[in-house]
Amino acid sequence: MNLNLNRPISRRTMLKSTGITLALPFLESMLKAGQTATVPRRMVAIETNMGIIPQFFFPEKGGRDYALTPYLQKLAQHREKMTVFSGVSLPGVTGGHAAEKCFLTGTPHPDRGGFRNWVSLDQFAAEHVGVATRHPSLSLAMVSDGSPTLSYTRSGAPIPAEKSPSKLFQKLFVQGKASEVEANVEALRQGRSMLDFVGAQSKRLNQTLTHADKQRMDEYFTSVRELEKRLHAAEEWEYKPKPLVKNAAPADIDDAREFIAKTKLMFEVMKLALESDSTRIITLFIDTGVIHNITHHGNRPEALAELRAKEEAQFEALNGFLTALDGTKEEGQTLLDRTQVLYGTPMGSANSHSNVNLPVLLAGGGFKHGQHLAFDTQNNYPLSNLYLSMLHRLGVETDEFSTAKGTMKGLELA
Amino acid sequence: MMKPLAFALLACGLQAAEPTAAFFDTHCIDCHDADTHKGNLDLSALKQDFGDAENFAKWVKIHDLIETGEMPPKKKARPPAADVKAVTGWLNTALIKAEHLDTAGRTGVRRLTRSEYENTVRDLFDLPGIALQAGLPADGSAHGFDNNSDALDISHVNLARYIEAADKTLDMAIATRPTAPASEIVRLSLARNYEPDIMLMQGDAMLLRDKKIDPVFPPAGEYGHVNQGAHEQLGIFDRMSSVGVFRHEDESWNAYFRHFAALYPGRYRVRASFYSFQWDQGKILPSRGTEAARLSVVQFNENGRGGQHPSYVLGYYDAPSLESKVHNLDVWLNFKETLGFNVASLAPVVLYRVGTWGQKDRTMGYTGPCIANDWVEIEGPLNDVWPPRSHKLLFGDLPLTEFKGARPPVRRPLKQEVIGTRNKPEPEKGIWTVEPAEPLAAADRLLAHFLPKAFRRPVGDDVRQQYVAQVDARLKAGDCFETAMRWVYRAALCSPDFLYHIEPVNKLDDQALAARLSYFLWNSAPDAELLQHPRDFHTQVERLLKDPKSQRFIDDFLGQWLKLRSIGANDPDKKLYPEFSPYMQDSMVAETRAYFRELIEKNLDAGALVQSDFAMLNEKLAVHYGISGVSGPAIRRVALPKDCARGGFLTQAAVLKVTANGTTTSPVVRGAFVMARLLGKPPEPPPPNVPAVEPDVQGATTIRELLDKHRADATCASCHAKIDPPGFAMESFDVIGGFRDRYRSLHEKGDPAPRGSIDPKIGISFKLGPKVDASGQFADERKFGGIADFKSMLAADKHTLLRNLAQQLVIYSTGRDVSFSDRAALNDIVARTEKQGGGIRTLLHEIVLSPLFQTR
Repeated sequence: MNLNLNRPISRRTMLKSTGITLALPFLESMLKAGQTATVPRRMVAIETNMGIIPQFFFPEKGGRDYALTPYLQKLAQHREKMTVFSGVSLPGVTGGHAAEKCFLTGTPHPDRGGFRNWVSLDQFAAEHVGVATRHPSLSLAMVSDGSPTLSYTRSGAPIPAEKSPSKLFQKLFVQGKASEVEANVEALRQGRSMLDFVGAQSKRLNQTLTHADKQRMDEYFTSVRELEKRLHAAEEWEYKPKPLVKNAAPADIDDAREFIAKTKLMFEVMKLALESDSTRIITLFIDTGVIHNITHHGNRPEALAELRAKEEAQFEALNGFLTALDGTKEEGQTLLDRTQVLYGTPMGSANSHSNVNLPVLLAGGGFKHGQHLAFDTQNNYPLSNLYLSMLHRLGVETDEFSTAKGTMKGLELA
Repeated sequence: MMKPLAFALLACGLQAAEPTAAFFDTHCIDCHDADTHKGNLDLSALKQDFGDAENFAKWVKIHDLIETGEMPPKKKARPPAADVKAVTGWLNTALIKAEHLDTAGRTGVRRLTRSEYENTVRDLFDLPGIALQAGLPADGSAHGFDNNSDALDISHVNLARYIEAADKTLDMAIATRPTAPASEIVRLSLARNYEPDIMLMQGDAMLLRDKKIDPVFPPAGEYGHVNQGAHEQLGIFDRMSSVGVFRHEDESWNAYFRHFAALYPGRYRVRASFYSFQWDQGKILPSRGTEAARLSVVQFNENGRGGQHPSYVLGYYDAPSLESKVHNLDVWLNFKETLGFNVASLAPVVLYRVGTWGQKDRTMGYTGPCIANDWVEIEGPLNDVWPPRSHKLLFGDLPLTEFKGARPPVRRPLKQEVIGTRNKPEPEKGIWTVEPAEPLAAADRLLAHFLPKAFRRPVGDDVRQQYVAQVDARLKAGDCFETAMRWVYRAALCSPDFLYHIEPVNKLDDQALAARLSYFLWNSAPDAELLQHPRDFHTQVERLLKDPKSQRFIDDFLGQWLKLRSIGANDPDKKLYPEFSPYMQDSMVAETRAYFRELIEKNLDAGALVQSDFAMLNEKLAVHYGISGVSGPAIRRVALPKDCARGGFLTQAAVLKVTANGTTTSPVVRGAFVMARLLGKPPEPPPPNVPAVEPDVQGATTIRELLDKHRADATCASCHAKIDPPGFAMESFDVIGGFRDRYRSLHEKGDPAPRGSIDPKIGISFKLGPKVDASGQFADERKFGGIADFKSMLAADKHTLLRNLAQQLVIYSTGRDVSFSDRAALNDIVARTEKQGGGIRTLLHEIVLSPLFQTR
């Protein structure tokens, strides 16, 4: 097959071609001709849903000389590789807990009737960079009950998150047997042909529908096509061996109260996923529902103390994750330098369910860090601008994402 | 020179613009111009762009505010009635005309919701307990409900899950044996559950026989029993003795019958025998009354080890004093499911630990109530016909024969791996499947039966031929008949004909009407009788309401309209509300559902939404509400004493809980709930940059004092004069719906709190804080002293209450919002209902008869 290296290969071309083995962790042939190999960039977005006590998180001074607060103290060793934000929120995103599903979408008014979510930051990014890896993105959750997620498709449908670290590990690293692979491929092929069939049925139905309804039925057809493409890509990946890791498979922790341990376990598998280039986009929804009561502390000292202890443990877990990434070398840099880690919460004060002045930080990825960017707490700066900066860092060329009006003021690419 | 607004209106070519422009110039433009754009409305710049949804909504609001007289505000001069009529009439015509151009009033084509999908499959395949809903992604919500096309996106993820659900359904539906699995009766004792072994040894439970202590096993006293192994060898726990349990389930312990795990999904009959008694340090005495025993269905994870197995509650059953009562239940069990038990009406106590946590001298030192389970019997799987109806739906009367070919049918056998269960699977000999002599003819026949049933409408020959062609292709690829048919059945269950409500444009045809009726009142596909007589409206509505499946409508509608789906969103603070329990929560939901059912059964009018002289209660709720004379867990109608604050939805614990956050109540949240969900007048959202209120749980300042700005500041008052009053009246009720005249607080300076109706075994550490002030005044300045006169005044406005309920039911049953042009039809429904007495059952009939329901 003729590869015209003057033109970057489109995804369609890559999918159509057979027999190209992807041995490299990233596709050099995807690059524009004449450039040197670009750095593979990753993104991890984490939401802890029930707030972060503001007075233990936000530093007083803005700039480079801010004093570390109790929570930021837990991340002290990564100070130069992270930026802390204050006075930011997602414009129009209100409604207390309703905002949890808008952390990566920024869609305003989730508490109103007729709400439809927009595409989330990770899915948007995955559309562009996801094709480079076996898994375009991973949507994960640390939760005991229910199926919350940070990831939403273009049509606003939620993508259920994987809750089990052991299942995730299996999905990423456990080889299927040859007979399993064949069975999988056959199942995928039959799946595709069934989708072809039902897609045709929707075309038939579509002819009987009027304009607005045609669009809705088109959504079905688009979903069919999307799933077909994924099955096809999955088929190709069936033939490639999964990455080898030395680690043993983790055992899931069932006790919902052990949410710190559960978080750490998920972080471990996430680090393996990034290290093995199984994916470059990960979202993690941390649901601290088990301590929901004390997040409504009402300023009672003993509840505040209990909550602070739990949140400090959360920051310790985050520190562990950042340290693990920073300890992994890749071509003279560390994995942390190439992985943006966003950590924050959709409620500025969980006690009052307020959605302004969100505690958020960004670590790694290749920015000029080491500062506290303090914006106006009375008149918040849009957090969605940060998301645009993050997309640019990933190499996604776009002027628009969600409610962003531009890139994040004061945050420069390194 | 024409004023700018008039010029703009004329430029849009609308007639009679001048009087309207003059109206705005005289009465509106002073406050609503470019400089003083009160309420963010600048009439001089407001275009008419009815195609734009936001602009359209603004004009609707202008119309409504002028029509109700809310604008101009009270302090300004009243415009002459004739002018008001002219303006609103002109706007009315223009808006309706614009809507028709936009075809905004039509129900968009929409897919089944998660619960509709599950119920449709359950009814179609006769698999009443198959669990499919949880595997599907959550639906959105639009205009308050999830069955609106705006709420029902579809993505590749939904499709992937539909494929999984279809596989799960077909796995369960297809018979793999020539004869039914043998039905057995298994009798189970709690004594053989792992935990009660420990509990029996240590003292949280005891063995009983004939209502006396089992002589071979004395209750634990100063010391627990030792050497469990020896007891087991002697068979102490195998004697089918009754087990009396003191300990309520908690995060470290729950009781289930682990010697049984269902091997075959299907119908089972469960019998359970319970009684209760009062234990007094070794003496068995009559109990304080009928206690409530809870049975649940527990699904074993993997091999059954460990705890935290998912479960759902079956129900709460009478355990009468010193008298064994046998309960009979018809239950569906899925693979690896068993039953669980809990002493629901008992307060949480732990007897076996020594020291401050537990009870000195264990059981022998204890005095308190106890619930005994004599035994539980599980009989099944019950199959009145074989192969089952689910199989016949797919394969008709084709006989099952032993397969001898090369490629056997693809099956996913279920592995019985639960450790310790005593019921074992029957070994299956050989592979049994259907193998017709003329496969394509058989396929054609089977699909001719299946497709119209699944798709809820006739299916053309051409479409059926496409399915048959696929069977042909699979057979040619080497699949056996069952596998080939599975392919097309799976495709059918994933096709848009199954997943979507397909309705013709404008007037609905027979099939679409039947489907609308059954999805309204049964949340599922129509049955044969409904398909035959879809236009026999009165008879069919009555029939559908009388069928037990109508409970799905009540649960689904109330779950969204009154937010019952969020009942578990917050756990009440354990220190402030120690009396709360899951049993109380389940009772709350049961009350509200039963109340709505009663309104429909007795055709009560809309006043009953807010006020009534009866309530649907069990003992748990009655005690919680301070009403005497109710015994046992069953919900029944109770006449309320005079001057009782209860009666109507607003004073039901479930509603009071979903409008609070587990720790504090907010008059704004509750007030907004009443405005939006009962009166149909949702308040405006707050202006941006208003700081949220941080509630003070220490109890020094009441929420009312914190909200004082709502009264003091005129801008705030413009909305909060409407929002807050219902919330203030409802301040008489706490986060779990208990009545209070003083707030509970954890502040050390509070007054000691009386126990009231709280169980004597529950420790109380909360105190009494400030007094509750539930008085207030409506926006029209009528005053009320508390919840009682508030309810009377609210209930008097039956028309508004009825109209809102009608609107909610229309949105729910038609899957679309009530548009501006629909208002006339909605008002007609209300008028016709009122002419016949204003009853809610009548309302349901009138909705079905209305063009809103019968056209798309």
